[in-house]
Amino acid sequence: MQALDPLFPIGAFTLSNGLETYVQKDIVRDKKSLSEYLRAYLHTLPTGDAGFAARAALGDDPAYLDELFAAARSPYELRNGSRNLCRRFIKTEAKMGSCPLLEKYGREIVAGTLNGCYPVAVGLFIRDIGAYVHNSVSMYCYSLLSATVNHAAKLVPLSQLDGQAALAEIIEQIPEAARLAMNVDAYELGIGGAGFDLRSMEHEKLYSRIYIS
Amino acid sequence: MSILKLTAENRNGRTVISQSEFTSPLKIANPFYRDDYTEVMMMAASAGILDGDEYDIEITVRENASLKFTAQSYSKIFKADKTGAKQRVRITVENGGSLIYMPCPVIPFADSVFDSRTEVRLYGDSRFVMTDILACGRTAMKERFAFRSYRSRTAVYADDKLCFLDNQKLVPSEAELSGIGFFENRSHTGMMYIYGKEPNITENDRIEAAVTNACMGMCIRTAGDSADDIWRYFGTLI
Repeated sequence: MQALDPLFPIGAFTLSNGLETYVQKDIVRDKKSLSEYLRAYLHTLPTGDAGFAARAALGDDPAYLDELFAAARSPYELRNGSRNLCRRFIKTEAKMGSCPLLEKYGREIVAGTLNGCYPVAVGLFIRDIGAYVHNSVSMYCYSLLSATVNHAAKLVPLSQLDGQAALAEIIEQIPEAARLAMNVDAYELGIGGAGFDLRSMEHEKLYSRIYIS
Repeated sequence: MSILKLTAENRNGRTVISQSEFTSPLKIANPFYRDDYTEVMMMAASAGILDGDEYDIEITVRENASLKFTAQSYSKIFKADKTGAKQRVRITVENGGSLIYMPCPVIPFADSVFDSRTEVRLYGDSRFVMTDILACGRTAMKERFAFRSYRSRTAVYADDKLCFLDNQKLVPSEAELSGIGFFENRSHTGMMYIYGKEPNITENDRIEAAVTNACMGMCIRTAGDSADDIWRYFGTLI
């Protein structure tokens, strides 16, 4: 619970899945539209972040998952954000106890053989501490959604209460999403939403000139 | 199963189709020889992709050959009463080779089921461009998200390392596809992937578009209200 707390100091609030653009374009502007955003986001989690975490927790090859994640997460900002979270997560956990799988993953990232992605690190941590996978992946989904709601409450003129009410609407669907994540087919990993990708990429526009040139 | 296999080779500076094999309803038109590439167009002697159809397409671009592969009009996916339709595409581009792969926009009709898998293998100093445009249905008939399932997975490998994955699964009964995260009130989405060259990014009023650096190569995503708008926009980028 500590490691997946949205307030765990690894900077999770910075990974936004295009939320800034949605707010800027007035697509997410109130409780109703935030609920829609959260429903769609939760729909993508079993084949996205939660799926990668669950498969890593269940013992799939981390190198394979790492490569697949980096290829599937085409928006640079999301891929790079996940990489930063991953590195900080590994660094923070390393100070608090022994996590052999996670530490091995960290060494491969430092050596440059793997990219580093946050969900795989979360999954390896779950495996390292021997936590129940379903409970842990549910907690991870909750953490991602809760971080989104807190972020949205700052961006949108939206009361904290409305944000929490939107979160409460979908909370009962989290265990099912975690179950789907645990059973996701390798072929289906990386399925997301074209809209989420497009909005994340629009958010990069500010610095796109630097990348392109 | 319907097969289309072709190999493009560089012969004395000109790209020729050195091997081709196809079975009904697939065929290719006579190639056009442009100054710096050769263009082939796939044609299907049927109204669209029918329930139970399986297309198996294989394109190989040999060293230093330069090919553009396009198709005619639209890929219409018809209603599925049984298994639905499948498509498998395998692409290889050898060192120094170049391929622009622009299949036609896909229109999944009401009650259709489509599963498409594309695997691209790039080697050495090769160049590759592909586009993928999808309509939410027969929009002229106000038909939107009436298909049963649309599945499309494109995996690009550079020297056998996975470098780009576009994975889509659209099942209208499972998610609000017209809304946030998916089509967002537009009727068409488009994806373009460019490897080994720089796109010439332009602005466009009619569609929403954004570009990013993928793990390797660049990816452009668009949303718009017509396949033609997205098609024309992609054409300006290369």
